[in-house]
Amino acid sequence: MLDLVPYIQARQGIALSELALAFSVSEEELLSDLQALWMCGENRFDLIDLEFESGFVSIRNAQTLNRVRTFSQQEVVSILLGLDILREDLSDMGPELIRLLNQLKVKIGAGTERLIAASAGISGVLNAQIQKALQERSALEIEYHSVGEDKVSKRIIEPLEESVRDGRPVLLAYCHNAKARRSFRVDRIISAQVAERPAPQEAVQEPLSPEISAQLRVLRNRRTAIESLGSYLTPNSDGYEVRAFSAPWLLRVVISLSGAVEVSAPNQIRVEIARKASQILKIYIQKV
Amino acid sequence: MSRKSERLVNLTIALLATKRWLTKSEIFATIDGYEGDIEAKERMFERDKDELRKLGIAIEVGSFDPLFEDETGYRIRPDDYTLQIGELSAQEFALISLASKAWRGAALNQSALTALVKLQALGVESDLDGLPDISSVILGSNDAICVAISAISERRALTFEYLSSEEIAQERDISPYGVATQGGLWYLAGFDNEKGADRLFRMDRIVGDLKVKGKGASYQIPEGFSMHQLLNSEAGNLRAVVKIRLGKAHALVSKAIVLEESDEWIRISYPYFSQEQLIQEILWHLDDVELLEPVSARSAMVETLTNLAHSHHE
Repeated sequence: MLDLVPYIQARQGIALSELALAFSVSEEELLSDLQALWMCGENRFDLIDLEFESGFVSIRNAQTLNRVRTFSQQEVVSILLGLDILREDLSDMGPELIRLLNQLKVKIGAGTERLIAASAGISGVLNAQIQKALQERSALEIEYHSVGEDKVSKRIIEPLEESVRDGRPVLLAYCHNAKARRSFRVDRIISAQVAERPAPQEAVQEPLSPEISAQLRVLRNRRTAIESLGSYLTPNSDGYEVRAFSAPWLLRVVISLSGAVEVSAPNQIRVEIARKASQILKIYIQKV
Repeated sequence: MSRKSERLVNLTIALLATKRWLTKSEIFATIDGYEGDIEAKERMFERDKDELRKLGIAIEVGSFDPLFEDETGYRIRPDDYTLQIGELSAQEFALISLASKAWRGAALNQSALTALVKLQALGVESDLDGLPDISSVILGSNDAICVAISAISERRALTFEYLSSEEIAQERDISPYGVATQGGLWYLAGFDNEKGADRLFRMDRIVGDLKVKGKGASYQIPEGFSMHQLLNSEAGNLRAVVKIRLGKAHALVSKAIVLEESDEWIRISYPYFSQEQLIQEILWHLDDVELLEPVSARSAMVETLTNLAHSHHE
């Protein structure tokens, strides 16, 4: 409510709807705030003079409150983290902009800027392209790193919607290469460019990859193991059941966990792990 | 709108407009809304003061004559109340509005928004020319971050349960220094009051709520503390040398220095934090990556693989 005063003062005659939008409140909430503010003042006989019945807001006699209030600590931190996130994305724009950004952090942080740090893991430039494609319903050519097979592939996709899985943004899109809907982890999209939308294709029955299920025991390093397997894991009486859509992915996770987990069933996956481990071992043994 | 917010606004106006200290009795006499007996009024006033402090409005407490036991007076210094940010250029303002957009719906969205509104009230216009079309996002934030931030700004200790490497929740008691986000994960740094050392915590490993403990101003953040430096040192001062099959292990190559390139392989050097993490990362790439240095990690790798093959044998 206090912040309304200097804002209206700087924009006398602003429309109610515009003011509500700026403060992201409903017009009803705004009206009730204005009504309350109208009852305030230095004393009972010297109230703030607000005019808003016409649908446009102007203010008089509010000298005392006509100052922009200092930032709260949360406001400072929110801006500092936001600015720090921009750092990586602006680094291509030359040192001048980065210098400006650093100066701005000091100006706003006044010493607290050293207490925070932020880096996104997702390029803001790339994200802007994705957002634009979603809005305009345009197609994108992307380079995508599929981690299970450790392959970078080029694909033409039509973005459909964004969601979040395990705290990471996922883009659901129609993939023209797979001729089916696919989910893409946004942090694994290496580049994106607007592409010609290919001619509409006949809808193809989505070839669902078969779900695989394995039983495993966690022997040590439980925290890392559970974090690596994330939402694919369900605890049961014998340890955990893991359900996944990609056998190569499961193989990689288990091997990289360096023996912290052991697959107890099915036998086929056990054998595959033993075989792969021996195969990797050969690289090292030959030279020892 | 309740009478309370009117009372708060009127209290702010009165404390801000006064050139001298206002006593409680003067405040109760001039501002509408303080009702009931004197104790009820005092309780209301205490709550109002807290409320204003939470909004970031600093109320100064003093007395008319320091030599005498006078009645306590209150006021808000206009300089403390007013945003002191100096001149902001249109480009600086554009950067701040890009920064605030990164929160879209996340934990500090509201704070970022109110900060922006305050700056707009300064009459600064935004100039996006010369800035690229970027849409940065801050991922995975939650309310615990807000708790941590206010604890840090008040210099109050935090307690919480933290999962050990074997997934056992352990009680921690820290003096928090700073927060950070990296690749969607959030970190909390501070002095561990039981272990007697600085520690970095991953916030998704905290079980349940962060609890703020004790009085404010209970510790100092070391002069030289920098969250950026801390994260960089955690990312790894050690360097490994590995051989990668061409076109593979994109994730490793992107953070590496290439030492040598042939038709089939490239040899790279890249930073790592611990041997355990290094082995895990390299094994992910199966036989597409070979660890060359350090030699100690190489022998650990042999042992790990032998055990894996053995334990999974039919």
